[in-house]
Amino acid sequence: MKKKYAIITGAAGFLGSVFSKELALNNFGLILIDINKNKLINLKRKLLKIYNSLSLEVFVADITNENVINKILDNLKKKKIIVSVLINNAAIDAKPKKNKNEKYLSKKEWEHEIDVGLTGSYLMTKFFGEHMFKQKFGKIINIGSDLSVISPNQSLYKSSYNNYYKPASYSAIKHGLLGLTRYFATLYASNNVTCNMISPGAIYNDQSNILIKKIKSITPMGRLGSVEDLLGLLIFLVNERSNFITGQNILVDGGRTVI
Amino acid sequence: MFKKNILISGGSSGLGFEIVKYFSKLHNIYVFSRKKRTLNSNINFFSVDLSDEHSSLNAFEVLKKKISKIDLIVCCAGNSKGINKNNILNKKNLISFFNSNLFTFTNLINSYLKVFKKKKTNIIVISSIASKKIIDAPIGYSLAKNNLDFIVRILAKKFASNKIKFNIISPGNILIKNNNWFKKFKKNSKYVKNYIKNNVPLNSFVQPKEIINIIRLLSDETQNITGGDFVVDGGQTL
Repeated sequence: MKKKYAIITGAAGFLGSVFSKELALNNFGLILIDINKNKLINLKRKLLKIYNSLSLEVFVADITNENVINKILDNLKKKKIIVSVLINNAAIDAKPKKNKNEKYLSKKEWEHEIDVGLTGSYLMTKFFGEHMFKQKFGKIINIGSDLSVISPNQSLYKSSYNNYYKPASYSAIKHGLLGLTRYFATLYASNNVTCNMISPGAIYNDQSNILIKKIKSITPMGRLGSVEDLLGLLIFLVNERSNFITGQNILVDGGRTVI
Repeated sequence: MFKKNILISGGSSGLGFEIVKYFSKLHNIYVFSRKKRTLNSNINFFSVDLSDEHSSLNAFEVLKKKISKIDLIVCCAGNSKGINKNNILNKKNLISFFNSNLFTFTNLINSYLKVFKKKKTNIIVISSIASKKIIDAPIGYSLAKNNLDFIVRILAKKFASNKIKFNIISPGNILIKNNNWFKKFKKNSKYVKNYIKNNVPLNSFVQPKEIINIIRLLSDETQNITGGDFVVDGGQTL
């Protein structure tokens, strides 16, 4: 049987690197894309150290550029690589920063964030989703957020991060990704390509103690998530056990969005 | 593998029975149902009318004498058949749907909380896409399932601090031997095939194993999901 590959955008980032390890552990070949060359090389080194027989392709690339994506696809086709999973994970990190206190993004910032988080996912789906559609199988997973269904609670950040505002672009991207998820779910359904979204709530990632305390207080399960909390669902959605689930947004948020 | 204590309501027929069959190979199964139907020695059957508060409470009190904790509760009790097909808004008809689809659940949870003292557990509730989309299902059934979804979300929030998780699975058109779709298919397969083709993007019925896969996911492979609603419908509600 031919090796199945998973393609991950933003692979060298916080979630992307853990997803990559988990998919390697589950016998997927990996195609890792990230714009950060150093981080990507580091990840490649780490992965090959753990899984020395891992089938791995690495691309330092900007997913907002259609030509670049097309070239990656051509490169993989020439190598006769079967891409069966696409994970649209790339996004501009929306971690609260102390030095940022603007309520509104500049047009340039807005466009850049939308480009990476939304347009990049759209373009990746356009090329690789179509590729899956033609091969008549595939799984597309968009990485969303609890902010795909609720509005950010700005008071959480206000006191903990010196008037930081969660940017409007983040909500627009995650709501937009949900729209893309549903759109492509029906567009590709006739050829057994499913499209779903995993939406994590807050994940432990060096937040300030005050912020952690506040998030815990508004999360019914009383804790933040860990990246590991997402892995069971990720593997479920990329394998055949979830073949009849499509267009769904699955929240892993300790009940935060149960309102 | 760690053998779990699993309680399944409505486990004597339909989807409930399929779930009982699967999990009885691996775990200790306790079935609350009106009709008795057993397969093997891992299944402990309790004759209960869950729409009756006292019957529900008694069953839990007997169960408590056998086991000290329940790891997983799968609530399958429900029914899409009304008592009067010709008068869909008839009060008795509506009440019968609420009895079989909603109060069977609220009585079960109420009894569990009383008898097992709000002990940590994982509760999975079988709802339906009829709770979210206007489909060819009786009004009373859709209303009862819609209320069921809302109650589950309230309970998920309320009991999260007790480490009681509540999640919903909402199947689309499920095909099981002798269920409604099975009968419809036998009667007019062309109509049913066309219906599925025109309404379900993935062009198929839901199979019980797809529901079982989510139960496995929620009970063994995830920790941080509560109040979720897993729609398994091949895209029908999109």
